[in-house]
Amino acid sequence: MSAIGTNMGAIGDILKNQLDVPGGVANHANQMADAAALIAPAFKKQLAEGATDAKVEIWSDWTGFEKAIEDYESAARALAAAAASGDAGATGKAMRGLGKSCGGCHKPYRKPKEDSYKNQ
Amino acid sequence: MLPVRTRSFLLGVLVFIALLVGHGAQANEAARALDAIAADVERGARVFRSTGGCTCHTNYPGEGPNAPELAGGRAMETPFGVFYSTNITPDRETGIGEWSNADFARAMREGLSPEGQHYFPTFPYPSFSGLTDQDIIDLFAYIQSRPADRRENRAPEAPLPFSWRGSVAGWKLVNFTPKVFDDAPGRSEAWARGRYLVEAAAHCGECHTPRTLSGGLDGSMALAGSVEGPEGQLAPNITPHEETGIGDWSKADLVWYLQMGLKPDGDDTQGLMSEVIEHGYAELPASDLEAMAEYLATVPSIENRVKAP
Ligand code: HEC
Ligand code: HEC
Repeated sequence: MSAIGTNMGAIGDILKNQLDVPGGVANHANQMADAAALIAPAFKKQLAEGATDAKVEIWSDWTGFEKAIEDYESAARALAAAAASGDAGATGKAMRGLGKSCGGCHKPYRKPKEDSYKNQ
Repeated sequence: MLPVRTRSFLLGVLVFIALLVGHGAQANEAARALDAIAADVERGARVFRSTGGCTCHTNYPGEGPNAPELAGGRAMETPFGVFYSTNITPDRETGIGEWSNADFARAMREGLSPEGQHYFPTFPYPSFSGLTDQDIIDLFAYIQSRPADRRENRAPEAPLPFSWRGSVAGWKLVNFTPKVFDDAPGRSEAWARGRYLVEAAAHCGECHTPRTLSGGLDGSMALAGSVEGPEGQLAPNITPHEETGIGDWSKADLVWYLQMGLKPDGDDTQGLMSEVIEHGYAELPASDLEAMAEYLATVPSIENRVKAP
């Protein structure tokens, strides 16, 4: 997840500061879409105790979790396509779509920060 | 001839009545002035977004993304008990469809219902009291243009005296002064716009400023973060303090955050903040978001690390 966050931060940096990085956004977005394949294996084994903010709902509702991965992957591909087209409006929209897909998984499956192990 | 005491008593009563009538006349004049303002629904949509989409009046947590917009019923957990937001759709019986401009302005600025009852301060009228007449009228017109939904309001689940509206009169004496903005001498127009948005319309402080024991905003800790934020959520320190606030965010970071809900480290946003962004701030023109960033960079920097209790 921190790798996903890093890519997301990098895309943000390019877009909000209007940096001239040809292909940068599409590259990061494609990397993020590729990373979707790593999420399920990483969470396959139940580990909801200790230094993790994973909720047990991941394993009690595994199909829902897989659906959230799919939504995230297609949102990342959509961003890559929009960025490659060079349309700034469409890129902004797709970025918001990708941001929403994070919440689509975090809301049901990630502990809110009030309960995060980092706050204990 | 009446005895002197009786005469002066009668005189006193007359003066009192005259004062009352005078006050009533003033109120009527104010109401007429509000009714004379031409409402602009399009502008109202922008004011609506700048409030974060009045999202506390839509029960997303309880009813999901298709919850009836603005129909209320959302539980607000506070240290004083659970309060439910009200129906502000144009429904004539259970919503605010019958209200006049003056009724709406009084609710937003004084926290009083058309019947003169006090609203609980979960409704952030201390901030909204700073809204201009035009913004209030436009916002009202926009809300009245949304679909009506029939739904009765719910009474709070709070122990006495907090569930008693009369107690709010005392709360107001201690905690409520209507907001008035000066002309911001020496500041840019963008700064003044940002101040208006942050302090009044977008009411950032209602969530990000911690509260005193009596539930008023603690002015000495403005925007420095609240452990007992809305619905029990942690609201971070958003003053320019480097380590504990957002002093390490650039203006572009903040604008991006209010548009996308994404933090500089790439993480997304949780809780109520994600709602006020999605249903409100994100749709504001970039100039408004930049104005807020400009103002926020100048508020007092306060050291306060917000952590779960
Ligand atoms: C399929 C589910 C899922 C999707 C999609 C997802 N996340 Fe996560 N994310 C999680 C879970 C579960 C955790 C908590 C895991 C943990 O603490 O080990 C988490 C934690 C994180 C963290 C905290 C990492 C840390 O070190 O504590 C960041 C940052 C993050 N996600 C960013 C993102 C971003 C940005 C996106 C969207 C671009 C995203 N995530 C999409 C499930 C998801
Ligand atoms: C309805 C309550 C509410 C309102 C209104 C609100 N916020 Fe927030 N805000 C929150 C909460 C809760 C969080 C924590 C979100 C999270 O951790 O993902 C937050 C997070 C933030 C953050 C992230 C800070 C960080 O260090 O991660 C910033 C910046 C922010 N808000 C700015 C604002 C500004 C500017 C306004 C007004 C324009 C505003 N907020 C209005 C509740 C609110």
